Amino acid sequence: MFDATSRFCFCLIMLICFSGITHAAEDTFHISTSYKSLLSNSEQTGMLDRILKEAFRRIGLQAEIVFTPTERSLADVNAGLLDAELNRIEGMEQNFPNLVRVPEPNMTMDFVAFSKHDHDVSSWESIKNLYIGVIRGWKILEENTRDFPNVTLVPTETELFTMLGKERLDIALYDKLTGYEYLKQHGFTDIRHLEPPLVSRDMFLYLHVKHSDLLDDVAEAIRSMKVDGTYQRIVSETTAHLAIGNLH
Amino acid sequence: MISLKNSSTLRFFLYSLACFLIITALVTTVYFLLTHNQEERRLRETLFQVEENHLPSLVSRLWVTDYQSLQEELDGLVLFRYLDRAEVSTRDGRTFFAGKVARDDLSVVSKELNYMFKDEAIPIGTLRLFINYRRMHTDLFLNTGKILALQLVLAVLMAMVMASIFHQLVGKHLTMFAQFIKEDEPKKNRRVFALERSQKHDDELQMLVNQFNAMRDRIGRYVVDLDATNTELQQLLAERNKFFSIIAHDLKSPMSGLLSLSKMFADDVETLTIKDLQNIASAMHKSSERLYALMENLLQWALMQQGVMEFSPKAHSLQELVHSGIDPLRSVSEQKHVTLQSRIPDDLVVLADAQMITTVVRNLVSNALKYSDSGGSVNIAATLDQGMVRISVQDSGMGMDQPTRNRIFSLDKKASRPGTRGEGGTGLGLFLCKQFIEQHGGKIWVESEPGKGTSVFFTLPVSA
Repeated sequence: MFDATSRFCFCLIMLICFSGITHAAEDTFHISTSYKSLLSNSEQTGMLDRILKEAFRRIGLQAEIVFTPTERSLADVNAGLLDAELNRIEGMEQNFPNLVRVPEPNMTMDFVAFSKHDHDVSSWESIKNLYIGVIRGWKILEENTRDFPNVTLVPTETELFTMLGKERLDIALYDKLTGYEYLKQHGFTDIRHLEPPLVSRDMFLYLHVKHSDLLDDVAEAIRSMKVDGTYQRIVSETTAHLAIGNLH
Repeated sequence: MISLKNSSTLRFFLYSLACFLIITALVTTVYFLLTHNQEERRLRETLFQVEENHLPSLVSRLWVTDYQSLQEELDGLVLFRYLDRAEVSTRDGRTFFAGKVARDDLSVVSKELNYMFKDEAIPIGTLRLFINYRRMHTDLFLNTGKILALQLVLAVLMAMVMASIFHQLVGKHLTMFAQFIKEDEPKKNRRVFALERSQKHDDELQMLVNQFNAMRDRIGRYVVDLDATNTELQQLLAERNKFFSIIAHDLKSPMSGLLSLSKMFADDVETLTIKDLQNIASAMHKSSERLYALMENLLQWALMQQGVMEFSPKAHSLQELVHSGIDPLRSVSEQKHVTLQSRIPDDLVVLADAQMITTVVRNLVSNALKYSDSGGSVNIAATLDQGMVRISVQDSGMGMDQPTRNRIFSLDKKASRPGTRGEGGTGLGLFLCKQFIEQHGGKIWVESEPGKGTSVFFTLPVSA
């Protein structure tokens, strides 16, 4: 038979165990994503999935990537239903006041011109008279090509690269990384991107305002991953099959 | 009641129905032609709209290989009426379509899809629109059929309404009119036909009723006159029958006597004594007298019936007229030993036809003598009575009972009786007297009791 001291110790151990499980469940950080690409996916094996899960692990939190359609994703995070929003450009907090931006970027997205042939893409002005394809809704590209005479807006990257494949476009403007992913998946071997990128944008993680206290910790964790080579290793592992040059 | 089979309301219904059916046929034909044109125009507008609005969009979507939007566009196209199928074939052999299966009975409109690229029209596909004209025509006929059926029902209803109105306005009154005429007896019923209307209208129907009532009044009067004429003719016919009866019977007796006496006279003249001859001659004379008197009355009556006898009243001394009548009878009164006295004032002047009044007096006095016994008397007198002269012939004879008094002035019943000496009579004399007196505007009547004698009175107008 156990004595009173033994029973107290048993109860204390059980309490500690259960409280630890409860704490672990509360510390799981739900990050919303609208991507379905090598950057992020439902298996949480995408490039950003792995980077952020590692970053949160480093500050003692477990991160889980949750897929949500684009428009609802921001709204849900802003409403506090989810904890963070994956990979958005700077300035989203102006329209969503409950979002706070992690100051260290997740990645830098390069918007490049894909083509079958060589063209001068050194500036926006240099591509003005080319037949250009842009996905409708990609604001940064639409705004820069607003006054161009031969711009074709298409609904998805499927039409964009199909037109380019049929040479109905001279260049197709798209994100370099996911562009190559699409080309690889659909067997386009005669299309490549042209250097330099027409525009590059740092992409950031946004947290709900209730997690403001984590901003610096998360930023520091990402930064430390870049410093210690973890970041580059994950990028290389997730993009190696695309056989493209340096990515950062 | 008048049956519906022969009713003007039914005919009006049929005529109205025929009119409405003609109108219905015309309206339906016009509707069909207009709708057909409208559908054709709508289809042309659809094709125009496809060419103007959808073709550039289709070209654009096909060019950018936005096949999902292209499919949605095609799905939208087949929503157009009678556009059963829309199909796009690309140059690389792909086909997109929306709508039903392509059938041979569908009409196809093809449009080439070209995209202007670098100043060059690049053919990128073909749009084919399958138009279902058969369905258009079927719908058209179905709609027209529905309209026609509806109009037919309306035509029948309207014709019934029209017939009902006609019946209320005209037919009902005509039926009642016919019923009234059928039941009406103008002579007995003096009812006036009137239309059953809440308001009076001076229309043709009212005119007809007014004229009918007026005509009915005239017919009523004609019928009454006709009845009177008929009665008169019946009376005349009875008189004529009496006349022939008299001829057949009353002439026969004296003529038979005369014949037998004359035969006896001829056959036995050699064996007859003077006394026998005297008796035979006397009997023959009496038969002749009776024949003469009868013939004279018959002549008078015949003249009167034929209207040949002229009625010409003039102022005459009544005393002279009476004497003219009784003078030929004085021998008879002497033979029967009956006193005949006339007490007519000599200043009485009457307005009379002399021949007629002489006949009247002779007949009345002759009768009075005939029914008076020997030693009796016949008195003739006259007095003024309310502007008329009343003449009386009074005898002291056998008199008569009430039934005899009632029939002595008519011909249709035998009223004549033999005289006190067996004198015969025809009953024609008093009838003639009555006719002549009434022609003068006077009256004749008799007062008598059996065994107390008879007084016959008649009146004549006084000459002014």
